[in-house]
Amino acid sequence: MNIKNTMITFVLLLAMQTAALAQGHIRLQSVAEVEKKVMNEEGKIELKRLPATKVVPGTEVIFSQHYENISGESAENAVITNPIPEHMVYQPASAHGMDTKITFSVDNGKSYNIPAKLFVFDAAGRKFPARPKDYTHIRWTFEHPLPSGAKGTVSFRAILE
Amino acid sequence: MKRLKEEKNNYFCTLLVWWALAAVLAAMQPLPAYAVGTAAGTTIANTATVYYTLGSDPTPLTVTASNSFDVLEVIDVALTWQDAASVPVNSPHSDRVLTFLLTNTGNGSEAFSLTADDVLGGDQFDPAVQSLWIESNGNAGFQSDDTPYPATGITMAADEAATVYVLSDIPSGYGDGDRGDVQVTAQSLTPSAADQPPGTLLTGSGPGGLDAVVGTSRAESRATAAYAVATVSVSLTKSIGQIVDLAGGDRPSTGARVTYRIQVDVSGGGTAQALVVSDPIPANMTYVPGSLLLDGVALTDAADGDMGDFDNTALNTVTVVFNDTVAPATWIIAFETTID
Repeated sequence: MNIKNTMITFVLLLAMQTAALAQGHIRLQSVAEVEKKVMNEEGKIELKRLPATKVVPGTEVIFSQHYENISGESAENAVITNPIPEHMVYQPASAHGMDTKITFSVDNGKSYNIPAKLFVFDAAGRKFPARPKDYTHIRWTFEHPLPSGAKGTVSFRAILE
Repeated sequence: MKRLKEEKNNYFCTLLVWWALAAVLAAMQPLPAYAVGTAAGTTIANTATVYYTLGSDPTPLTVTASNSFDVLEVIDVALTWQDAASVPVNSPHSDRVLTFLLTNTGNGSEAFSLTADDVLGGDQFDPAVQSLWIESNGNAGFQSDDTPYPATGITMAADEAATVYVLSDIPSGYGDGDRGDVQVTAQSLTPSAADQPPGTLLTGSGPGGLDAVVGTSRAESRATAAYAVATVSVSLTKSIGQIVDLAGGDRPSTGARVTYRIQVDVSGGGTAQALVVSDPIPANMTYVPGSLLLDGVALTDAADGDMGDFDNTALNTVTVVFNDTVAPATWIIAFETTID
């Protein structure tokens, strides 16, 4: 085995190890749900979340990302990005996430900003405030490191076109 | 100075008119095809990624998670009557046309049946529906080379629209203003879909075995259209346009040339069916060959492609065939004779 081959093997091993570790630090679970009005035991109507399996155009879907730091160390500089799925239109002010700064992209994730500072341009180059349907991505930037064991959920709502 | 101001005002008025006109024109633009929603069977996939570093190690790390679901089919349909008002008919009258627009307002390919009910209350007569047709030859309005509605129904893609014609015979014995209604019903042919409450789940009835859901139309749509008897009247006014005698005067003497003029007026409402105007040449007069005009345009004497002839349809007679003529209409027939 010459030096070159040894180096390649080493790099491959390192890459595999990184991938395996990456999946081991933070558990991320992606869930899509719909809300349905149901009668509870006290006879009151309440909203119940059900898995989004029967979805027709016009339905509002809640997309949630459940995260948990399952490593023994603190996760730093944590950011969750979620491209808004094709055919789904973001619902204004529906993005939530404790201790995160929420920003949006209207250029396929190249840049992010708060809604008031997002603009789109028409074919003639005129500038317009972006509407929720222009949003392509959502980003949650955690304001603090996530200590070992920290868990939570970020979410948004969108309507199927 | 004042004049300049007036000109300025005029300019602004003109601008305003143009703006108003532009706004009206914009409002008149055909609406874009209404998108009924994401196509049935589409997979909606959501993927999120968390980016982070661990402890004091600056190596960027990521974890990605995904989920997906499929869009179900919504079964919806819209049928609307297209004629601007009751279709004017005579009593009796055969194969009169009502026009409807059928639109698949769901999000998947769907087959629909069409049925027509001509025995309805609240009207004065019952039209007898003869046949249903689907516009197919590219020419607006019913023509006999459009496609007869097949008894198995019509399959339409999401958003697709089809023009439907209903042909009915009108019974005899009804008068001006009498109305006869026809109700057409379009129903989804998916089993157990039509007339079910919105939201009804039909397991496995969508594309690729996906479920389907009955939409707000209850998977059916009805539209009622009306015929109304409109009396039509035809009047003929014959006059002598000109006499030119052999001496250049206007005396009706032997050899004088006489121009006759017949005004045909179709008035009232409805259709004058199979209208033919015939005028035998009087005794002691001779038709001048090639002198027949309709609204100033020459018609040949032969029985050929044009509307008129002489001595062919009937002996020694000028004949002009108008066929079915919708009121109001006016024609002027002119021809020349000589006095024997």
